Amino acid sequence: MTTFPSIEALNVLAARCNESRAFQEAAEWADSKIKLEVGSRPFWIKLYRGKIIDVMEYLPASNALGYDIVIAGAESAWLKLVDVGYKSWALISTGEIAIDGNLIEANRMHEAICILLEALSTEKEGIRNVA
Amino acid sequence: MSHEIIGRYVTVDGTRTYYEECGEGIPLFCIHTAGACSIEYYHFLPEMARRGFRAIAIDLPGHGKSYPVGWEPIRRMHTYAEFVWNAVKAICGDEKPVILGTSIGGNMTVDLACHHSPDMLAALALEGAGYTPTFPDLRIYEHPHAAPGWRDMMERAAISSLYYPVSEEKVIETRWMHRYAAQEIAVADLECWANHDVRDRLKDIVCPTMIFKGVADYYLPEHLLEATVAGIADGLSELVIADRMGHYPMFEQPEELAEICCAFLQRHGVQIPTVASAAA
Repeated sequence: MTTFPSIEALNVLAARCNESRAFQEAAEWADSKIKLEVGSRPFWIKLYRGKIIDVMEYLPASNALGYDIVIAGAESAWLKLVDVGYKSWALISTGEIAIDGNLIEANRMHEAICILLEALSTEKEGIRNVA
Repeated sequence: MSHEIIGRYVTVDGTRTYYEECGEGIPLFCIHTAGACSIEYYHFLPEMARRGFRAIAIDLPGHGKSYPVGWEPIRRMHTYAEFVWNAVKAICGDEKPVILGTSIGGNMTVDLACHHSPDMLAALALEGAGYTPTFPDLRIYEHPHAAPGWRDMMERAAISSLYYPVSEEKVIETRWMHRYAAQEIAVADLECWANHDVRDRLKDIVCPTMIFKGVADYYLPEHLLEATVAGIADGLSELVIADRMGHYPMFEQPEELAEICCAFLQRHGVQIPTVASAAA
């Protein structure tokens, strides 16, 4: 069991997504760098050809690649995904989770992003929150 | 008595318009949600037919098998509602109907009650209200180049608002129910939702009006529903919130919804033939 938010939790998330056929199909032609802002903590994932191939904390001075898409929200909003199993659009439609950056790319990857967000739920074993 | 659903066409405002109907009795005219079509009601129509209704569901212009009016999307809720009223007159003649709609159809139902309630038996507004500023105006997305992922956005917006837990089959079917309208039509539907505001006309409603929400539907905060009921004359309107339902009650729990609708109509003096004969 790992805690959220943490790099370990995002590695678990990456494993879940990469095992998901739906995710692989939705991201088959992905080539996106995504910044996840969990409150004040930024993380970074690289999504390429159906898989999350890299995960790290995002520090602007130490990541030469930058990002294409931002998924941001207060930690309390992210924990609704982790603990309560909220569906993605219940938070996207209210703006609690905001998608920004290159919106054409984000829009193209919308299904993959929703699968990723809902894969955080603790109903799936392996992640718990620290709050 | 057969409760087979029959599909027909009628010309409304010069436009070839598709509708389905089932049963005989009081006309019950059903209006679907954004980006969908009459197929959303295929469980509900027979349920209401069994209860003494001529249950009808229309494909709004540009949805399913209905052409758009003048080949353009409709961008105002009242314009939609007036189209539906002309369809009601063409299909039901002078018989007073019960109007039932869901989501944008629910808003249309409230709009129709504001403008035509003397000629309606009742209004059953599901997942709709007098004012619904709960969704952004997405008009920038109406061309596919601006939103290549539109289909996924629309479907995610739909399936997230179901009541959970729900079967995976029902989730997939809900997605497919939203593949019956072009992107520009579905975007315009949501534009209508975002701009809908008949708060100053609610006082004109003179027919029984049910304001209904599935408990899991986050698109409609209760204060908007309560304000709608409060704007309608005393005794005519009720707020009903049902458990185990989300934004698609006619598909999620059709039998339970049929019971709720009939109970509301009876409480407000609408004589339902099968219920009356069963009681006799």
